[in-house]
Amino acid sequence: MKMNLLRLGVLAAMFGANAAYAVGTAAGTNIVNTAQATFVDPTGSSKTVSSNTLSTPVAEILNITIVSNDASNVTTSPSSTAVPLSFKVTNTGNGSEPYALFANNTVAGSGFNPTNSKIYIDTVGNGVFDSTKDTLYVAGSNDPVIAADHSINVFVVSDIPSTASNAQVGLVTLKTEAVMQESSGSPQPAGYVYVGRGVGGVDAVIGSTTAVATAQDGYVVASVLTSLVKSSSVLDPFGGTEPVPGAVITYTLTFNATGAGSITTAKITDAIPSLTTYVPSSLTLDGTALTDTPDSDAGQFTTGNGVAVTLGTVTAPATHAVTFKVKIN
Amino acid sequence: MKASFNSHRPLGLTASVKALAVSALTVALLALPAAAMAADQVELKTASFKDVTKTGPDGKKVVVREPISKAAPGTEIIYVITYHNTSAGDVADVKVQNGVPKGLIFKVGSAEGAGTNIDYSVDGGQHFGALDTLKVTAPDGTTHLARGEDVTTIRWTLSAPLKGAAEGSVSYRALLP
Repeated sequence: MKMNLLRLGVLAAMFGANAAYAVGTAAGTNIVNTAQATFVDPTGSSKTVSSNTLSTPVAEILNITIVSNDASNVTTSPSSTAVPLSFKVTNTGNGSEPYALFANNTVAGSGFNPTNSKIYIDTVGNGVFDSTKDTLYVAGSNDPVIAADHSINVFVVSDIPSTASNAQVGLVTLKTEAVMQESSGSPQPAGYVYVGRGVGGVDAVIGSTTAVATAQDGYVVASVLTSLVKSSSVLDPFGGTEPVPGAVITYTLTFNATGAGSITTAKITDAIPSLTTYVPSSLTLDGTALTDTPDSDAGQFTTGNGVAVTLGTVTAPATHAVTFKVKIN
Repeated sequence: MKASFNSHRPLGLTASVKALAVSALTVALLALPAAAMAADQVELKTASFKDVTKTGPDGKKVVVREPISKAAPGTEIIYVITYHNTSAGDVADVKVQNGVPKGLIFKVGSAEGAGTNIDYSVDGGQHFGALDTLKVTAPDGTTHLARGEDVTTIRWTLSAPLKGAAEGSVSYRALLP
């Protein structure tokens, strides 16, 4: 066991050392070397000589990665506008470099295509999209310059079509590519050298990522479908079910929310049928009696308007039943 | 619009200032040996190479040593130091010494030199010894046997006097991380 622990320690130290060079020696650094020699000449005196000095500039390596910041597809609803997806673009090369960005909202296998996609740079740097403060990306005009070993957040902001249905997923990909590669027409393979085009005029070498990266993210639609069904039962004064004067009709309004997500300010209202009279204090919601007066509970009855029950925010799936009684005049 | 990425600019500036400083230093260093070498019996030259794997006409892979004037991170730089007695008389006690360039990691076991004893320093050339006898104290107070990244200086001691007009070379490899 002691051996193993010792080995672990050594491994940790090695990784520690590597971590410091995660992206390599900074591009443009000069590696300088001069050798010396000492000797005793035939007259017996000690001498020291130096060699020529080699100065080796460090080339720039272009490498980039991109990942989605969203843990899963971003929940949205049909007809939503400017819904952000978040990405992180990291320069894993060793020099500052401008990168171009491309969003694609027509991805194969997508349940629906998000529309009107725009790219924003997280200028604020807080990871939260803010259309008034973050910078709209315009290709070729404000390509972000990312420093070595630094990341930027990028948002792809899209509208959700009204036709998108519950549980459908709409995919978006964000691609980033070194402007040097993008502007060369056909991107060069790893190992290709753009002579003199790196930081400070050193060579720029295409790294293992080919200075191109793509990540996918998506929207998932949570939409709520609602229905309201009205039914009635009659109890006549004689214990039967005949709708005769004096008989009591119980109305049941069944509100059903299916799908996923929430709706707000839901309210059920119903007028009292003509030639009938509301039975005071007969209003219930899900089996619980409600008062007729407008107060802290959800229900109220007003002459002329009938009954009203406020459900407020309803998270699907959910079912609510409202009942009230009227007496036939 | 570029102004929104101003935060990157200072980095660029620092880099060019550094580059200027280094080139100024280089000029100063180059000037010295040129004047000194004329009068001395031993001439020292440093050259840098790297191994490149190439596919020959027969489809076999061959490693070719190529001179380099620039390097990308990940390159193993081979330094070859050539010593030459330019006089007719012998010179004695010849020691060739090279500080591993700042930023490079010495490759353990790569130092070579026919007819020389090789030893190392981990303190900038103040003390020399066999690599497996040198210890390094880390910032956290722990000590460990010297590793490649700890080596600051390599020294080749010629085991015999250098005859008039004789020459030889020593070499080592270092990784540019």
